[in-house]
Amino acid sequence: MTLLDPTGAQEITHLFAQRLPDLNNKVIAELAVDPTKWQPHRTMPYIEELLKKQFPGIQFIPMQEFPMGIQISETRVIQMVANRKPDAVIIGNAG
Amino acid sequence: MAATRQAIMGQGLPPEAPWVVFEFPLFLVDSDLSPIREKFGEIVEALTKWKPRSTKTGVFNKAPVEVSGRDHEDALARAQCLFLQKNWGDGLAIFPPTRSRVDWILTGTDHDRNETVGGGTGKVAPKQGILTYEVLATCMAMAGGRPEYMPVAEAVCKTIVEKQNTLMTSSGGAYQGICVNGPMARQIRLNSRFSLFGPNPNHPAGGAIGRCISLVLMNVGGHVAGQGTIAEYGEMRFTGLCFAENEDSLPKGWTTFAEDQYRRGRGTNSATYFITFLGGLRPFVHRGSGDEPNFETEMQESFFRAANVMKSVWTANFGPSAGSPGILFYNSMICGNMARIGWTKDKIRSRLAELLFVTPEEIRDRTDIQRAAAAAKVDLSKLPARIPLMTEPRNIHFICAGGDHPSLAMWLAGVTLLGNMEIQIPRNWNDLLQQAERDLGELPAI
Repeated sequence: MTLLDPTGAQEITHLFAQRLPDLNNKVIAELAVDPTKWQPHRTMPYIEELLKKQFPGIQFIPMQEFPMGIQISETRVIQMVANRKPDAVIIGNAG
Repeated sequence: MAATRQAIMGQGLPPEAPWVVFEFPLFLVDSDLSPIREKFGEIVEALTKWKPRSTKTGVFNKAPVEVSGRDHEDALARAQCLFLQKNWGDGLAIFPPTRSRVDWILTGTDHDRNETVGGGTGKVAPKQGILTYEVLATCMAMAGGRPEYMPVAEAVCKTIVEKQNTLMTSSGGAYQGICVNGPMARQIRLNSRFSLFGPNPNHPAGGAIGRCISLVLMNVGGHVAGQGTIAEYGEMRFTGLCFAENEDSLPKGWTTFAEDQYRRGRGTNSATYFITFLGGLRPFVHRGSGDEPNFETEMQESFFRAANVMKSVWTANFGPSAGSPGILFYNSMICGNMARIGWTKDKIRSRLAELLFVTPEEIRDRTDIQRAAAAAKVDLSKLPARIPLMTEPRNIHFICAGGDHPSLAMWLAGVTLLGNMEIQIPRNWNDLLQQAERDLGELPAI
C-alpha cells in the first residue's frame, strides 16, 4: 500500500556562509540564551582566551552587549548584531 | 545535537552543520572546562575549513512510501514498524494514512489538499515543516480521526502556525490543550463531562483530534523526543487535552470561556489552543466533610483547599508578576451550587486570589530568595505580612467542564493561552454528521 508522508515539505531559504579561512583581525560577536544558567559566563571568556592565543588580532563583542534569553532569535536582536558588523557570531549555550 | 539540528532547519538552513559536541557536564555550575581546550582544534577547523553539502535553496517535498506484506495483516504490521523507524509515529498503533483514507478525511474541509493551513507559509516551529491540508489529514488519519474532526484541527493549526510558539521544545514538559466552544462540539462527540480528559468511547473526538495535533507538532514541527524537544517527562503528549466547555449547563447569567476571554458570541464555534508549561493538572477536593454548619460554609471552605493546591505551583518562583495564569475547572454541578448561593465567576476568582499568598516566615530560610533579594536590594525584614502571589484575578481562567459530581474540581497550572480561532464549518457538514451517525450510532444523550 502507498502511505503518505506526515512530515510536510521543508524549505531551505539560506545556505551556510563560507568559512573564514583566518580569524586574525576578525570581529566575533557573542550571543547567549541565558547569562549564567548554561555557564556562558565561563565558557565564552575561555573560548575567547584560546582563540586569542591562536589568532592574536581577533576581537570580540561580549554577550553582555546584546539581549539574552530566547528572544535572541528575534529579528530585532539579529539586526542589533548586524549593526555591529561582526565577521562571525558565536551563539551559546543551550541546555 | 539533534535538537540543535531541528533549530537550524527551523532557521531555513540545511540540516548539516559543523558539529563539535561536548558532554553535558560542561554546562553545569563549577564544571571542568578542559574539554573545550581538548577539542579546540576541532572548533577552529569547523570555523575555518568546514564545507556544507547543500548547495541549493528551495522547497523540498516528500514522496509517499510503499509498504507491502504477505497479506493485509502483515502489511499493516510493517507499516507500524516503518512509521516508528522513521520517527513518524508516537508509539501507539497508527491507522495507516493511505491515499484513500486521507482523501476521506479531506472531505472534512472545503480547502484544497495542497493549500497551506492558515493561508501563509504554513510552517510549524521549531523545524518549520510546511503544513498543508493533505499533511494535516495524513496526521488525522494516523490518529484514527474522522472528517468531521478536521474543522477543529484546522482552527488549532492556524493558531500553531501563527504563533510559532516553542515552549514545547523545552525541558519543562509543556503539553498542548484545546478547548472548543459552540454547538459543533456536541455534534462531533467532543467530551465536556465525565472523564473529560479521556478515554471515553462515547466521546472519541478529543482523543483523535488531540493526537492529530500531537502528530502535527512531532512530524511537521519536529517535536520528537530528544530531537525537537528535550521534555524530560513529556507528560500527556499522546493526545494533550482536548475537550469542550459544558456551556449548555452553565448557570443562568454565567458566560462561557470563549465569551469571557475572547468576546466570542454565544453559539459561535471556536477553538482555543493553549500550552501548560511547568504546570499540569492538579485536582483538589471541592466537597467538605459534611459536618459544616451550612452549605455556604462548605462551599467557602472549598477555597482553602483550592488555594492550597494552586499555591504549590508558585512556590518555586517569587519573581514579580501578576500571577502565573492557569485554568480552574468546575463541573456544571459545582458551578450551579456556587451560583445558587450568589457566587459569580469574578467573585470566585477574587476570593481565590486573596488566598494566594505566602508569609515572610515561609521564605525566611530560602537562600535563593535571599540572594535574589540582595541583588534587587530588597530588605527581607521589611516584607508585608502577606506577600501576594496573584494580583490579577483574571489570570485565573475559568471553564465549566467535567463530570457532574460534587467531589473534585481541577486546577491546570502554568497555562499560556495562545489564541482562539473561529471554526469554519464545511459546506457538506450535515452529510458528514449523518455519516458519523451511521458509523458510530446515535449521538449520546450527554
